Amino acid sequence: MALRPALPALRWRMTAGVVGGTLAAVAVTLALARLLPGSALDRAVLAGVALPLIWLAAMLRALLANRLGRLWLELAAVALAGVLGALISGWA
Amino acid sequence: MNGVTTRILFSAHSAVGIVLGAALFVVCLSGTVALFVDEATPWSSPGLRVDGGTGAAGLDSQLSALRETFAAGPVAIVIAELDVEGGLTRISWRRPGDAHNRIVRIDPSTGAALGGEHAAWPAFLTDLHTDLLLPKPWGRYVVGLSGLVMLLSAATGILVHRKPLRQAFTCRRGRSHLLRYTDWHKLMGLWGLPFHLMIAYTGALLGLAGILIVLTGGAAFDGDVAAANKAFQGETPPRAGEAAAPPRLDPLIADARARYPGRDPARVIVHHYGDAAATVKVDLDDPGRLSQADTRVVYDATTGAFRRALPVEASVGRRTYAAITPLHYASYGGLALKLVYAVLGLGATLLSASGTLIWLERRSERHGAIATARDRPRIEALAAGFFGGMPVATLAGFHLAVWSAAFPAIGGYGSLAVAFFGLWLAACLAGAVAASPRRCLRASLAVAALLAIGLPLSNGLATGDWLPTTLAAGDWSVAGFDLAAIAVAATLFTGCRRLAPSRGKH
Repeated sequence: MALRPALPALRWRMTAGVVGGTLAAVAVTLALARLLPGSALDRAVLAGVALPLIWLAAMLRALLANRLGRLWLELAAVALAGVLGALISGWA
Repeated sequence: MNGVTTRILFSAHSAVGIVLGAALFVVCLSGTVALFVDEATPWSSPGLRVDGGTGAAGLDSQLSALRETFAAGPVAIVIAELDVEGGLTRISWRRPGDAHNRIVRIDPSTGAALGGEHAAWPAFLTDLHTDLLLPKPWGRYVVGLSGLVMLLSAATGILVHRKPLRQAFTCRRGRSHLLRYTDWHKLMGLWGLPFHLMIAYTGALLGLAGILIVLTGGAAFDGDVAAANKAFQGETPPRAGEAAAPPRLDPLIADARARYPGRDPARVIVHHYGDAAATVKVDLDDPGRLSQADTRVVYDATTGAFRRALPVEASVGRRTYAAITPLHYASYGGLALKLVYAVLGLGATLLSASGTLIWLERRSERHGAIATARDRPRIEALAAGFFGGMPVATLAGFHLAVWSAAFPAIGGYGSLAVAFFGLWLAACLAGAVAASPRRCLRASLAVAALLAIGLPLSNGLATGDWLPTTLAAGDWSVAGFDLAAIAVAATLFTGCRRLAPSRGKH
């Protein structure tokens, strides 16, 4: 009997990172574009430059995760937080 | 970090490198060459070599060459870039509804328009870097995604290496090719890391800008993407539809200089040229700043009245947006900075190639000793032709471009593209049939070195502008390129020697 579950294969980590990570990065970026201080142009620019960094963080998290189910939950939670943040600011 | 995590990160690093290594190689090498598009244009387009000198005509006098053309119909925009490509004025303009700008170059010392197709080779190299010659905007998005992948590759590479300080000074000689490729890969990766992160990040932003503006602009401007575009690109008032006298630009340029002493006008933009609602914007360079956003003075084109000057100290968002392009293209620090970028860009190019070669060497070792070339994996042979062929095709393109002065048919965009891909394909096929892929790679570098050292010769034969003559005349726009070609040849010869067989291996 295995003492611990097998670690997720690289292809599933990359899939979770690319799909889930992209969705999470986009959601957080939209929230930042609504919530950051400053003019609309400032918010748009600063949110835009943050997106590649958020995506990179999500990809690295996916590569370092030990449980696929928990990884998807984490990415979904981040994406949900981003969507809620954008909605709270009054944009639907 | 435990061994399992390290193995996963290493596998991810290898996977992204293998999948996109070829695209990253093309983007990095073409980007390194495209850094010098402005400097290379007079050399590669002999028809654009101007004598310069004193008494350059004012912009109004230069535009008189196009007055009849502009008067033939409505003109949406005229953009005059001053002192580019070795001292020329480059006019980009279009009529309402045109898909692309038309470009005319003017010699400011005579006011004459330089007819014919020019600068096709620098334009080709720029398009190869920004779009991989794929249809817009998809090619741009692919290049932007390559930037993201390069970021991921750099990040996983950092996390995998636990002893960066030791590896930054390790270069073992006289060992196997795999070990040498691995040492070079780590050296270039570690020493160039800050540059690679910056170039990948800004490249991703520029490549994906179209998507980012829609996403973040739409969110920040309450879904009004049109308002977002206006904010990013600046607002243009609508046409009045009434004809008006063309604007007199020289007094406006002088006024802008007086408002911002010490800054040179870099660009003059006229919206709705010849219309009663026309505006003139004068953009001024500020050499000490990375962000060139806001040194802009706006005038009413009909009356010449000053309208507004954008604040020099702009918001953090505007300064950030305006800093991305100069940071990526090294347009904020002169030629010396471009040379530093070129060395580091070459390092990024070799990173992509060496990573792929490491993977192929490992595959080759796993397959065991290979008796004949027929048994060697084709992919290894094709890789040698691919990586060695692109420098050969690029340098051959410069030869064809300079000979276009004598044979105009070979200097067009299409002709040069066909020649470039034809030569590259030939190199790949040569790799496929070569007895040893490594010998093929060495031969490619040797051919590239000969092509590079031959560039000053081609220039002299085709145009009569021999290196000693241009040096004596102080014509650095041509002499500088010839000297750079010699330096490139020396670098390629060195690379060729470094690939020499080690003990008992080919």
